[in-house]
Amino acid sequence: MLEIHIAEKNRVAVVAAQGRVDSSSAGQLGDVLTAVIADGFNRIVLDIASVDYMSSAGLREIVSALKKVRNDGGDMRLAEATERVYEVLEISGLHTIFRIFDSAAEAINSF
Amino acid sequence: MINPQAQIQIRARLDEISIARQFVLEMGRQAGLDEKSLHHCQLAVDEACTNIIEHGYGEATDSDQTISLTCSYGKRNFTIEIVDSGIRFDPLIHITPDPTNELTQREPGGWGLYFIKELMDDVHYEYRDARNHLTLTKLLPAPGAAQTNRKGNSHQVVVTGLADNLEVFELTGAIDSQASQKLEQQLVERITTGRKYLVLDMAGVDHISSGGLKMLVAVWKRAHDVKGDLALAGLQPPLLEVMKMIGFDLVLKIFDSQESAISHYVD
Repeated sequence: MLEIHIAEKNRVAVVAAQGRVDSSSAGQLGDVLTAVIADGFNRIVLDIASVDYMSSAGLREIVSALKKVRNDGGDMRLAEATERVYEVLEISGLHTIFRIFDSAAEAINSF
Repeated sequence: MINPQAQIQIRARLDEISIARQFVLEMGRQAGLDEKSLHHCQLAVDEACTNIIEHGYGEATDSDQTISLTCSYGKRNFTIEIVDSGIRFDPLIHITPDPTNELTQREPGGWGLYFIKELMDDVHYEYRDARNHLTLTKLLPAPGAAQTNRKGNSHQVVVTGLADNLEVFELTGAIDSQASQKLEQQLVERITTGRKYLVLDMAGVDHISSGGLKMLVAVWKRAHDVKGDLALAGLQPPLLEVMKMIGFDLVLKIFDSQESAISHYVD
């Protein structure tokens, strides 16, 4: 189960995901990120505080969204990675590529 | 004695993978795996099944196509065998991506197989009876033993007698958050007792976690507070690359070797 909420703060799109991002739900996250980018946002905060599981299918979606916004001069920043999700980011080396913040507010203010 | 064993079959559909994950979770718990290892097993099975469904069976939703999973365990290990009749595919000879790649060099996908190899203690592949057999093994914690780190704990040797205010630490193994806590205490203690120049010889270090990086910055700040310094020496190329990528080399001095670090401070 994956639930995704979208909000806007200071012209930053805040995408909050809740649940598991695996191969059956990752497409859902990818679709939301694609739609947000198509709406003209190149600054995105992905709040993953309530994501307790992410497989490589999820990484695939967030990396392709990151590439799109960075190519457009923007960025996608992560907020509150849980220990499990952080481990997955670490194994794939993405913890050095994404800017990861302790809270959504900090991530939003970093723009 | 026969080892406990159980088997299930799922249909080759992505939305059935959660059943496989749940099965592995229950069996792994019975076997005595800790939470972290349980998560690793679930991820590995998830990645393996996703790969079979997306590539082995070519995303077809033929309901006859199934994946069978067998979990068994003994005193020493927990084993998951995954069997499918999709196209023959040996994941172990597949090229996997490099975690030190920068964003521009990265393809978004391709991490599944890498995860399986990275998360499990042993991965074995065999093509038998026109089926792919992938066997994943996780070692169980030794009875009575404390939790041990997957990559081994860090050890250190202190080299002293170079100069009154300089000390060299030769570190080996993995600097994870647990090792970092201890190390931070020791390093800060050295600083407060007057050894304000610290050199960490990292030649034997194969892994450093984000907690380890944070610790280095914290110790560096403490050293700078007393007009001292913390430097790194002899980093292995992959670690050096990571450090440069995140701009660590702009903060900390990084030397090729312990010797060049020492001569920098002693002269």
